Amino acid sequence: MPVDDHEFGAFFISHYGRLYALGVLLTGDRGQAEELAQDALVRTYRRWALVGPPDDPASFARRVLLNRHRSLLRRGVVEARQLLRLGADAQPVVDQPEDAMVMWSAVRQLPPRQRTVIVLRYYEDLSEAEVARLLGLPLGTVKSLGRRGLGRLRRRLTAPAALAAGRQGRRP
Amino acid sequence: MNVEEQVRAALESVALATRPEERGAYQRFLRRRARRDRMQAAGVAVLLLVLLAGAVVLPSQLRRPPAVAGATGSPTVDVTAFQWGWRFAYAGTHVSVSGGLGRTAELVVPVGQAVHVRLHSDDVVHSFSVPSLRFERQALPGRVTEFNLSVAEVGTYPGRCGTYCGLAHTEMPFLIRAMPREAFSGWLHTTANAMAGPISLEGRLLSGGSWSSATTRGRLLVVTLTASWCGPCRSGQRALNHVADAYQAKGVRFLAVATQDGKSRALRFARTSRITYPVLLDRSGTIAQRLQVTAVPVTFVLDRDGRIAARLQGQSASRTLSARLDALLSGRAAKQPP
Repeated sequence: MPVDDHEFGAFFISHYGRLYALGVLLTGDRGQAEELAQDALVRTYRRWALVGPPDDPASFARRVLLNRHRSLLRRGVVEARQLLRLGADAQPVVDQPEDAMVMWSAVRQLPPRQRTVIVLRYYEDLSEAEVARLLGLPLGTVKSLGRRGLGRLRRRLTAPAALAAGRQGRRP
Repeated sequence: MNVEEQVRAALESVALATRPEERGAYQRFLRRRARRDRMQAAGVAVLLLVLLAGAVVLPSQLRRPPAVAGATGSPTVDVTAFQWGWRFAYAGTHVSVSGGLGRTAELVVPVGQAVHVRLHSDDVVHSFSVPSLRFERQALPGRVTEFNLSVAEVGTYPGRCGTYCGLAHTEMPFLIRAMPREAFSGWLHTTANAMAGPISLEGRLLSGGSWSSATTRGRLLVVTLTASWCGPCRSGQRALNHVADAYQAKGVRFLAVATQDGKSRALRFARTSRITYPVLLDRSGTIAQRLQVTAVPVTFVLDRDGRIAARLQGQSASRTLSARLDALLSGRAAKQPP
């Protein structure tokens, strides 16, 4: 079945930004974010006959992006940890207000699964049940991942000086 | 502001700040999509090519037996199955061994050397089956099945017919005897010498008196092994009589051998079948054994020196008999210029 390029083009323009942003928040890296978003949209395009309107192609694309991210994580988890510990990718994504910057760097240092749950809960505004379905995790796991993520963020924010000192101290 | 609100605000502001340029992204998307389509097409093409190549190459390899090392003198054997027995003829020699109806024929092979086998059937479907070698091939009438048989260890390997082929299907035993190479070539040599030599036949005639092939030396002799108890022999005899009538005038001698037969039955058979030439009585079948005959009727053509020039199995032997005789007679004429 031929895909209506006009229809898909409109979908692309309206959803690419959001998928890309989700990629940035999950990976903290613009290059990887573009890769994830593009890949998710190519896959969506190829399934357009099945997942296109009247269904919800946006949530299909989001799910593909999450799955790709997870397999990238699985592949690169060791490398990612090393980079995080060394602070190699700690450059700010953009110039940000000071408090947002602090919060963002705290989010970036969360373990991957906690970070994914936090991003889906507070950026994509999904309920815990929806996150659980999307990630294929039990609801209880999602709840505890979210709670631990938030707790860690709270501790980081109430002790920003200690955090900064810790980061400074570890730099060679 | 609680921590959840702070997270929300921070994520939102990062997302806003990293807003991409969508037009360029869409162009990149189109390129990526095209590349992926090409890769998929190439993948399918490669898969199809692999399957096609496999479908072309593999069956031809299955049909062709592995190359025979003909240069190293590996023998070729024509194995013929018939109702009910086996004949093993070593190509390029006079060696032909047969057995059947309970008498076991031996296929002698060298150890560790591929024997090229051409499998034939004279009548119905049989199969060359050697359970201990885990080997079986069907012998189909009108078709030659070729394979290489290679036995690794000295010993004997009993074989049988593996496809039901009629009443005496279970009476078709044979034996593969594997011997060292030198022993094999020795065996082949002596057997070939024994079989290539002139054959002399003698015995008591049905009509009384004795007969010896010495009396026919210098002439072509057609010997038919037959029997009164054998249906095909009776039905094939009339055609044979016609050939005899035509060629006796040209100097060809004919002889019938009543194999494993009783005198009175054989006499009646000779009378009712109107056999006009001498009939030898071979009560115990010694002549048949010497000629490696296991199924009658079979017709031999002996040349002027008494060597076997042709062996024609079955009741329809007379069809090809005239052609063989013509060839031998004209060969004689050519060799003896006036």
